[in-house]
Amino acid sequence: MTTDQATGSRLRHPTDRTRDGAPALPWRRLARAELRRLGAPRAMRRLAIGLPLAIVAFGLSKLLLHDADTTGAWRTAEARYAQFLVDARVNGLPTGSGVSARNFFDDPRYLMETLSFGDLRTVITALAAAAVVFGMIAGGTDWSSRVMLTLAAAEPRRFRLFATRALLTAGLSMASTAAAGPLLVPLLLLAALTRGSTAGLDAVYWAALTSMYLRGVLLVGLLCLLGYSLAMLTRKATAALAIGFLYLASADQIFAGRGPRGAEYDMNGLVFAVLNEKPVVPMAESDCIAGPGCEAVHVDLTAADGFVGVVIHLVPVLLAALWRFTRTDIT
Amino acid sequence: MAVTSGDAPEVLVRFDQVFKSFRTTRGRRQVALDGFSMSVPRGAVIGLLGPNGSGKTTALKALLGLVRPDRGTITAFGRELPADQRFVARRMGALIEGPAFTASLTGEHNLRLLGELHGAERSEVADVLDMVGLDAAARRRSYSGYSLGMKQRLGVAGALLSRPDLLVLDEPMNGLDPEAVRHMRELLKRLRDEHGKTVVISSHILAEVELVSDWITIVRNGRVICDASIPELLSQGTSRLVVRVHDAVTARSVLADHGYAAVPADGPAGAELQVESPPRTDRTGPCGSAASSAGPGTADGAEVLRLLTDRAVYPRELIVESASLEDIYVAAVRAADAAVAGQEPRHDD
Repeated sequence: MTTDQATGSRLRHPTDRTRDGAPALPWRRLARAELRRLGAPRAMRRLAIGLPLAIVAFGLSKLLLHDADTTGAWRTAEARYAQFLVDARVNGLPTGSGVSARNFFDDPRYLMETLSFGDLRTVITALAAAAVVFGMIAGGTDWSSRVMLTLAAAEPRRFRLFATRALLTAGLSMASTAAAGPLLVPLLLLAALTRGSTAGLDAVYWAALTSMYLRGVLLVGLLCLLGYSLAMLTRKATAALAIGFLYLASADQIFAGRGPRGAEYDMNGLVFAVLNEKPVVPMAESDCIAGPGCEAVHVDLTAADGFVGVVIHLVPVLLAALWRFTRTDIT
Repeated sequence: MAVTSGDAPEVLVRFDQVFKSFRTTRGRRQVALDGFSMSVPRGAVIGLLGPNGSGKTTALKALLGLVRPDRGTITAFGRELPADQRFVARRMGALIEGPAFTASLTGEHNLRLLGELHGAERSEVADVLDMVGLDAAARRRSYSGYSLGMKQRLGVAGALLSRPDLLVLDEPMNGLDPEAVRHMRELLKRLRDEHGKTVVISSHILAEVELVSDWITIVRNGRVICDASIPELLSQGTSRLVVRVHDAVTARSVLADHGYAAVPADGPAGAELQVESPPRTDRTGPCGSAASSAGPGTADGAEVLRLLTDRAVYPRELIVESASLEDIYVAAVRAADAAVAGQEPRHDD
C-alpha cells in the first residue's frame, strides 16, 4: 500500500468524528471488553476445553474404578478376617465380639450417598487451587505486558476498572465451577446406577450436596479474588504466584491467635471446613486419624467459620491492592 | 510554548510548574519533573525532546492520568487534571512507553479489544490498520510474531482508535524502517493538516522530529530548557561559516584584528578556514542564553566578506552551514547540564 492510499481516503473515516457525545466509558462496554480480554488468550481457550474434559474424565474414572459385583471383595474380606483371627490368636490379642468380616470389607461399589461428597470436594478443591492461579494470571498478565497502562489511560476511574476486572475474574471462575456440577453429578449418578448404589439419595441428601456445591462455588470465587488481588498488589503474575504461595503457606502463623475466636487459618483446613458435608463435627465424635481435614474437624469449624477465615485472608490483600491501584502511580 | 493572549493559538494542554518525584526502592527521592511548564497549541505537532530520564515520559503519563503530580497544574481541553481526567481521556489517544498488547492475539484481535473500550466498530479497526500501513497478512499474525516496527504501527493504530483530538505518542518512530518512518511522518502531517489533530511526540530521532514538528520542546532534568518553533530554533542556533581563501595567513590576521577566530577547517591545508565570532553572552532566545553561548558565536558572513575584501583578500568561496536540530539539542542539553552540575540523578523514563 502506498502512503497516499493508506493515509488519504482511509484516514477520513475514523478520525473525523470525535466522541465528544460520550461523557464516559459505559460500564457495559468496559465489562464486555474486559471479558473478551480475559477469555482471549490461547491458554484460556485451552482451559475452556480442557476443564470440562478433565471433569468428564474424573467422572468416567468412577465407572472404571468401581464394580457392582461384591463377591470378590467379600472373599478378600473373609480372607483378611481369617488372617486377623490367626494373628490375634498367635499374639494373644482379643478378637472382640463386634469384629467380623464386614470390618475388612472394602466395598467396590460406587455408593453415591457417601462417596459423592468426597468426589465433589476433590473437584472443587482442585478448581479452588486453579482459581487462585487463574486470578493471579488474570490480574498480573496485563501488568507484565503493560496493557494496564493503556487500560488505565482509557478508563481513568480506576476503582471501576479494578472492580470490573475483579468481578469478571471471580465471576468467570465461579461460572466454571458452577458448570462443573451439572457435568460431574450425572456421571457420578451413572456410576452409582451401573456400578454401585443410589440408596439414600433423598431430599436431605440432595439438599446437602447442593449446599456444599454452592459453598464451593462461592469459595472458588473468593480464592480467585485473592489471587487477583495479590497480582494487582504486586503488579506481576510471577511475583504474585511466588508471594501468594508463600503467603498461603504461612498464613495460619500470621493469623494464629489474632483472628476471631482464635480459629483455624490454615487454608487447607478452611477449604475443608467450607466443603465439609457435615456442618459441624464435634471433636469428640470425630473419627479422623490425621491430615489437614482432621485439624478442621477437631476445632469444630463450621462452613461459616471457614468462610470467615477465607474472608479474613482476602480482605486485607484486596484492600491493599485496591488502595495501590487507585491511589498510586501507574509507571 | 510560551502562549500569551491576543493572536496566540488556542492552548489545548498546559503544564504549569509541575513537580513530581518518585521514591526508589532504597527510599531515595528522585525528581522526575522539576517545575515542568509547557503549552501545546491546538492543531500543532509538538516534538518533545530530551535525554533518557529527562522527564518526558513522566510528563506524558501525568497528562494521561497515570502519574499524579506532587505540585503544579495540568489543564487539557480547558479542564483541570486529574479532576476532569474522564473528560480528557475521551479526547486523547496515546502510545506510551511503546506498544502494549496481548502477545497471543493477532494484531487485529488486539485492536478489536481496544476498540471495545472506545466503542469502535470493526470497520474502524480496519481503517486505522490501513492508516498505519499494516497489511492483511500482518493483521492476522500473532502479536508475538510482530517486528518492533509492526508493533509500533499497531500501537499508533491503537492510539487512533479513540478518534482523539490529541494524540500523545511516546517514541513512535522506534524500530521503524525508513519506509515506515516516512509513512508515519506523512500520517502525522495529514492528521494535523487535514484533520486538525494535535500531536505530541516524544522521540530521540531528532531528524524525524525536525521534519514533522511545528514546535520543539527540549526537556532536561525535569524542566523545559528550550521551547520554540522549528524556524525560530534553527535561526537561533550557531551556524558554521567557512571561507576558502588563497592567502590563509593574511585572512586569519585580518579576521583576528576584528575579534574573529579563524581556524583551519577540513580541506586543503591553510586554504579553508572556519570563522567564529567571539562568544556572545547577550543573546537570549527560546533556548536561553546559556544554550546559545555554549559554542562560539556565529560569524556574520557579510561582515567577514567585507573585512576580507577591504584588505584585498578575496575569498574563493564562502559557505554558511546552518546549525541542525541536533547541534541545537546538544548545545541546549550541555548548557543545562552545566547549569545543574552536581545535582541528584534523575528518574529514568
